[in-house]
Order: sequence, then C-alpha cells, then structure tokens
Amino acid sequence: MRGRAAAAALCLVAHAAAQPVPQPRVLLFFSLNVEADHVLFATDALRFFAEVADRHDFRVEATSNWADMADENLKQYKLVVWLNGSPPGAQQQAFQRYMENGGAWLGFHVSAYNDRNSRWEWFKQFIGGGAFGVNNWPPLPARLIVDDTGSPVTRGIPKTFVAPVNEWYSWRPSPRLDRNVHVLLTLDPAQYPLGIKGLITNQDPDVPVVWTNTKYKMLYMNMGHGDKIFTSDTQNRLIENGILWLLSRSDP
Amino acid sequence: MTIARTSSLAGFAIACVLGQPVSRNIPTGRQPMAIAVNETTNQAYVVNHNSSTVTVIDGRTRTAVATIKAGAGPEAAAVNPVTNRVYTANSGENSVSVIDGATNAVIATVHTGSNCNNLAVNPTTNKIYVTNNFGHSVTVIDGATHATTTVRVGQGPRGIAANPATNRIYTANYGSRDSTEIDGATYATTPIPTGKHPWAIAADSRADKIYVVNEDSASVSIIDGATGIAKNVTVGDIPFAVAVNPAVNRAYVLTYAASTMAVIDGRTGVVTKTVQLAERPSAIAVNRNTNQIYIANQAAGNVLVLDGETNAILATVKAGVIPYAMAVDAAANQLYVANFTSGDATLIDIPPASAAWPRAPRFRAVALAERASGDHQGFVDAAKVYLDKLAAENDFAVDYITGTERINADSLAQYKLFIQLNYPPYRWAPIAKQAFVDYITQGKGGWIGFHHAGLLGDFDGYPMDPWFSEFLGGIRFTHYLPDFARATVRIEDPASPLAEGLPSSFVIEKEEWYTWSRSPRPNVHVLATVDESSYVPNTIIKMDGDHPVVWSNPHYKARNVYIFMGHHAGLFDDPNFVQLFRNAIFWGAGQ
Repeated sequence: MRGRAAAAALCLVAHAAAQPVPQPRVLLFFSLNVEADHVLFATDALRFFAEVADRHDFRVEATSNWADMADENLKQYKLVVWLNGSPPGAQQQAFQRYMENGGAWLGFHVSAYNDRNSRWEWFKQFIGGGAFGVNNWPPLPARLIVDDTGSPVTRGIPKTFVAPVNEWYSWRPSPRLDRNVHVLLTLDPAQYPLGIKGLITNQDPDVPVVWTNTKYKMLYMNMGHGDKIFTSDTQNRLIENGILWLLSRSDP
Repeated sequence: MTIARTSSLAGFAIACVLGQPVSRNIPTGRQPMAIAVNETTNQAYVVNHNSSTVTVIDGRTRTAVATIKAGAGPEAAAVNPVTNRVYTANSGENSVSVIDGATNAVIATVHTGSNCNNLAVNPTTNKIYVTNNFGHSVTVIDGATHATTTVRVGQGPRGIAANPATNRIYTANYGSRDSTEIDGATYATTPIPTGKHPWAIAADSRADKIYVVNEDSASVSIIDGATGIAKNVTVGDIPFAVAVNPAVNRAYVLTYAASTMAVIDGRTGVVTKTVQLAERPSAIAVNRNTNQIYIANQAAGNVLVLDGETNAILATVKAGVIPYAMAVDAAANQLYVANFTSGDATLIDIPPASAAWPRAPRFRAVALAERASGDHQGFVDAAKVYLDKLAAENDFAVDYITGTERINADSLAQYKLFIQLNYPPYRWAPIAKQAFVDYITQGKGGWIGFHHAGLLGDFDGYPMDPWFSEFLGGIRFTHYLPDFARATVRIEDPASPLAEGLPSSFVIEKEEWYTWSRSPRPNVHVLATVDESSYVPNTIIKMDGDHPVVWSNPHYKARNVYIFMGHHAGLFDDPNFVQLFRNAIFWGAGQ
C-alpha cells in the first residue's frame, strides 16, 4: 500500500498541469471455499497482483463475492480476473455483457474448467471450445514451448522454459482448433507421459497452456495450482506481461 | 520353478529351465491402474479404471481367466488371502466391490465416503480400510458382515497401510501434512506429523516401521510404530513410491524429479545408497524371498530387476506402454505389471539370480537423443534398433535419454561411452553441461556425436556454445543442403581403427552435407571428407574443397569422433555407415 501511495503522489506531480489520469482498476475474483491448492494459489496471486499494480500504477481490488459480477459494478473495471473459479448462473450474463462491451478478462487454471455437464454455452466458445480432458497428478514442473515469441505477452520469455509445479490440464478438443484462438504457449509433448498417478499422454498430443480468443480482450493461463506458481521469474514475467497487455489493449 | 506342461508353453519351459526372466503380455481392460495378488491361490487381480472391471489372471496358466464388472472407476485393489476375498476401491461411485476369489463373482458392493481411492486389508482381523480422499475419512469394512464404520482422519488421505502385527493402520494425508494412526481395536486416532503432501505409504510389519513418502518435501517420514514418533529423512525431489522388504529391513523410495531410488536402512533410518536410474521410474516392488527389487520405467516401458544386496541391475524386461503399477507373487516368483496405455498386464516369471543369469555387461553406454519429428526421429529410432542388437550380441548395454536433465557427474560415472544421437550442442542443463565437459576433458569415457551434434550456431533462441564449437574444431555452422545430395566419402586415414573394414571411398545416397565457417582440419584429426565434386544434384553450397565429415579432436582426453552423417533412417541400410558406427562404438568405449 505504501508503494501505491508513493506512486500516486509521483503521478500527481508529473501530471500537475494536465488532467490527472485515473488509475485503471482491476477486479480479482477468488474463493476460499475450494480445493486447498487453489486457495494457496489465490493467496499468492493477490500478493503478486498488488506488487505488479504498485510497479505499473493500476489499482487492484479483490472480492470473493460473485454478486460483484454485476453490470454497474463491472463498468468501473478495465480488467476482471478469475483466480480460482467461475461465476454461478446468476452472474454469467453480466460477465458476458461485460466482455461483449469491451471488458478484459484474465483467467487462471480451474477458472476455465468445463465438462459435458457445463451448461454455459457462451463460455465454452469464449474459452475456445475445449472441455477439460485430463490432468497430471501430482502437480509437477513442466517444460513449455512459446508458440508466438512476437506477442507482447511472451516478450522476454525464452522459446522454451521449465514452468514451476502446476497441475496441467488437457483440453478436448484442443482450443488451437478454434479459428479465433491464438495459442501463445504449449506443453512440450517431448516430456510425455507427464505425471505419476494422473497422466498426460500422447492421447492429448496438443495441450495449449496460454491462449487468447481474438474475438475478445481475454487471456487464459493454465497455471494456478499450489504455492509454487510465483517462484519463477520467467513465469512471473509472463503473467505480468499478460496483465499489462490486457490493460493496454484498446483493440477488441 | 514350475516347468510348463502344455506344448503351447514350450518356449516358456525352455526359458525357465535356463533360469532367465520370461515375460508375456496379457490383455486387460482399459487403463489398468492397480494389481493385487493372492499368493495362496496364485491369482492376480488387475483393476481396469476406465473399463470399471477386474481382470483375473491365473499365475499357473498365465492367462486371463475372468473379467469381473466392478463399480465405476476403480483405482485400487487389495486381497484377504485368508478369506479369499478381493476388494476394489471404486472412486467413480464411492463404493467397494467385494469379490469372492473362489467364484470370481461380486458378492457385495459397500458404500464408502467421497472419492475412495485406496485401501488396505488386515487379514488377521478381517477388516478392510478404505481412504476417502474428499471425505477426509476412512471407511472400515467388517469383512464378515460388510458393516461399515467411518473414522475421521486428516485432510485428503491418499495412502493407507496396515500393520497386522500391531493392529494399527496408518494413512498418508496429502492435505494436512500428517499421517493418522488408527487403533484397529478401538478406532481411536492419533495424528503423526509428516512432511508436506504425504502420499505413498508402506508398513514393515516385522520391524514395526511405517514409511510415509512426502511428495512435496523431498523426504520420507519413518514412523516408529511402537512410539508413534516420526523421523524425517531426505531423499530426492518429488518422491512418490515406496516398497519395503521386511526380510532385510529396508525400504526403497522412488523419486520423480531426479529419477533415483533411495535405499533406507530400517535399523538406522538412514539413506544408505541412492541409485541413479537412467529412465524415469513409475512403480516399485520387492520380492522378499529372492531379495530382488523391481522398478518399472514409465516411458521406456520396461522393468529393471535389481539385486537387493548390491543394487546392481540383473536384467531389463520389456513390459507394455506406460507401466503403472506392479505386484509380486513371492510364492510363485512372479511379477505383474499393469500397463496403463497399452491396456495389458505383463506377467514376468523371475527366478532367483543364479549362474544362468546374464553377466554384468562389458560396459554401459548412454545415448542422448532428443525426441524430434520427421527424419531425425527416424534416424534415432533406427539407431536404437541397431544399437540394441549390437549390444545384445556384444554384451554391452545402452541407456537412452531424451534430455539432459539427468546428466550429472554421478550418472555419467557409469558410462564408458556417450553417444550424442542427434541432440544439438545447445539446450543443455548447466549441471549436465559441466558434467559432460568434465567427462570429455578428463577422459572419463568416449564420445560419438552424430549430425545434429555439429549444429553450432544460434538456434531456437540459444546462442552458439563456444565450448562445443571449440571441441568440434573451432567451427560455426553455415548452411545445409535442403534438397540433399548423393556424394562420395573418402577415407583419409585408413590405418585408424575407426576405418577398419571400410573401403577407401564409398557413396552416401542422401545427406544434407552441412557446411561450416571453416574446415576444422587445423584443430582436428580428419578421418573422412566428402568429395564436393561428386554431389548429385550439384549445388553451390560447398566448403571450397576441404569438407571433413568424420573427425576426432586429439586435444581432448576423451576418445571422441564426430560423424556428420545421421539425418535419416536409411543410413542403417548402408553397410559402410553401419561399419563406421560399429567401429566408433568399440573404439570410443576403449574396447
């Protein structure tokens, strides 16, 4: 908080002659009533977002109340983040309107989970048409391949790197098959089988882990399980890049 | 060893007489995940997760004799040999199927807590203990009446083991950093702190020691059953499986990140040996009668047989695709392997070690080959077929690795030869690179590099590695022939052992004929060059006449040879290439 106040003060000095530029606001949704490893991730993520916000002069607010996913409230936010869940039916329409009116979204890990029982058809196309396939167990580090080194999201990220311990999901079909989806990072299949009890195998030859649906201002990252996600400078940079990209984008 | 009696098993009989491991694959259902054996009846029960069935294998006839419909999504099985009952934990529907081993019929389905995924049996009391991963509890089933009692344990129990001698049961609670000790008589519980994410668990009932594997602490908590106090011992990163041999009071723990087996002495609670494995392991089992250790290799699809006294590898036996779980019938000296992806079980008859067992190989070689697409993978695949045959005929062994993660000073110490099969001179883990540099500069073994090993430049986001460039004669890659060319290779040093049996020149049908910034000749000993004037089709991509393709760098202590040819599998149809390969192996290994 101290850092944010200092940054705000500097901002006022710098823009003394001009109209003060309001800080962009980011709203994080999280839940404490979920799988323990998803809570650990959310707890670390709240801290990480606060640090990034301090460095880049935006404002982060967090809520565990999905009722905050309402039209009027969402208008205040440039970016909505789902750390470890997705909204119940009552709030889904508001989110859809927010996105279709130029809102931005960053989703982690379980927030994109959907299966044959999921009824939110709009979200399925939003996320690129893939339903959850399998996951490795236990959570493990994994080598990732950067598909698009030219994206602002992957700026400064090596072509391949080992991401810290995570539970990785496969998607069926692969979201890459959706013509609106642009995949940024993929699980390196050379390390298959990945897992001990739960296995990702050649049955899922293409497992994107970070992608965007170009119809929206959105970015999905499969990272988000356990307390090691933010232990890699490389991956932290990737996440930070993603946040900044979503905040800076003006094109739909 | 029982000699097979029917003519269809004649091959079996001969092999058994010779006393070597013999295996056969028996189809099961989809995604076999667990096996339990009844040593009294010589039957094995394979749990097919995706088919929701149990395949019964008769160890005498070595065939599947029944397929039993279990509850949905079974993940584990246990046997009570006293009652001849088999129990499966059906995680998909929160139930246990009770199978009568005499009739292979399900005689009861018992409701459990949420996501039951493991179970243990106390044959003495005829109680079955089932972990409910999401229910944070254990369901205790009375084997006689099928009445149940629910006992609260720590968070997310995933592993369970019973000590029939003390009538105590222990869980590994993944979510709460502890094990719950359950008193089998009173159901009183006591939490025992462990490391983070305790998962696998095994009890040595003779020594009254319980080994809890802490997946996220790189440690094992050894519980003294008498005092209920745990002592932590460090093993490698991501330990995930444990087996105990009460006969020798030892526990064996596999680690995923480091691909090792840690040997723990039960008396002292100390890791007495860490065995570096060449491949990533997936399961472990021991045979208390023969003091053998069995390790399944996940991607390699085989099983290592180790001597429990020396930890030496006695044999490598082929299994199916992705071996996932194992069980030993010690009475029959049989090992069962459940192969997750191929949907079968490998039954291996493993006699005790004897003079008839294969001797230790003359030497071991390690082959590093990246998993690639297209021609390079074809070359690697063909090289493996050739190498395995050559190794079998000449009594050496080859371990294959697909990345540099497991290369270190310890792992390299066991190899006389390092074969860089189309792995580039970049993307090496720092520890691996240092160990390799030491290996070469100190002459700890020989080196053969093929083709891609000479890709010296800035590729895939990696800058050129100056050490490799110098090792290969101070060169930098410039071009290749994308459309290939047929060309004549001329031997310059017919007296070299590398040229033994080769004609003075021979034609290579198809290669990319890499060019480099300059000829390595001033820095190396050239064994062969390609005659650029012989290119068909001709090309302007040339090295102005002096174009070495096979050479050795005498400034390094290790015997080393770079062989440019190695782009595609067809090279193994060329007797001259094969001869060169063979010469390089025996010369490089100092044989």
